[in-house]
Amino acid sequence: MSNECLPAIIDLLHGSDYGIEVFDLSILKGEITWEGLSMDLKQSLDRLFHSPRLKSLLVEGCRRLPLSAFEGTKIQEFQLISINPRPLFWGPPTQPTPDPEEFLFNPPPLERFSTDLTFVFPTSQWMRSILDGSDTAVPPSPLANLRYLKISFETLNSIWVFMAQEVLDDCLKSLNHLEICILGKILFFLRRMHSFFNF
Amino acid sequence: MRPSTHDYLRLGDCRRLTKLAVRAECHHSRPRLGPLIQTLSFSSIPTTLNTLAIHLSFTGNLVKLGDWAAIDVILTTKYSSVSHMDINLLPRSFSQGPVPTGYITSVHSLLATDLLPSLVSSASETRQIRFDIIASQPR
Repeated sequence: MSNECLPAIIDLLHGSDYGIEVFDLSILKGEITWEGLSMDLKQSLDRLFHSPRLKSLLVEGCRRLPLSAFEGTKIQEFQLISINPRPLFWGPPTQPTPDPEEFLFNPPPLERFSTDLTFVFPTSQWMRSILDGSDTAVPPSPLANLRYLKISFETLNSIWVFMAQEVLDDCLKSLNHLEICILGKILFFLRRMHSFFNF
Repeated sequence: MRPSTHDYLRLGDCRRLTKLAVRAECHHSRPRLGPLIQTLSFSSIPTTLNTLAIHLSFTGNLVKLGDWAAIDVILTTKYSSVSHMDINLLPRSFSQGPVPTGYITSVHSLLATDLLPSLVSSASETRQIRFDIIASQPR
């Protein structure tokens, strides 16, 4: 990711009269955060995300990806995976930002969304609770026009169900395909710990 | 006893939902299926739902027969009006007992080829069966 040529290569992927429609960014090794990227690379990715031709984006393993990266984009399909993983498997899932300054007032026109709840858009209910009593109007939910939603859970206890239900509530009128995945990582982790200490 | 509404997803208000897919897979442990069963059982079904796909795959531990029995009852009663079911199982998960096969349309058989005769015998009850034997492994 420190390759100085990368920003130039990304910039070549789109222009005023052309541009890629699908972009996948998977960071499979190492701990790389959005803030840790070079300024040139962040700017080139930001320009690509805002290309009017980019319709589908996968980002995997880029930690602390900011919501603001998607303000005003035209992306219709998101796959956002392992963005803010929990420090411990049994900890609470990622919460939406409580800062109303970070809400999206011009959200992308999302139709398809795959999430493991490590990157969460503020839902209407969340934004209403934050903005309750203020003069600021509740921004439109980026989830309001979803047709396809895939949610992956590490477990399916109440807090995860609650978060998933808030997402569902935002797309009740548009959703026609729901996929629920239960991966069971917690027991896998505990089993590995048990094996380690008994070795 | 009916669980709290925070323990399952409420799907009934999704007025345009046509396809629901549930995938539970783990290769070293068995996920808790209770909340999944509760979602299937206690959530109301949108009238638009016509396809239900369930993929259960566990290679490390067996699915408890009680879990499958619960799903079996739910499928044959509550979801009987769904026109297309795609149940995708890893048969070894059920080697403790008989597999309810009336609506199985897809089987990925990795190990338990001894279950195939019972699956084939149920073919007459099923509108569509597809066997995908994706690997075989000596015991």
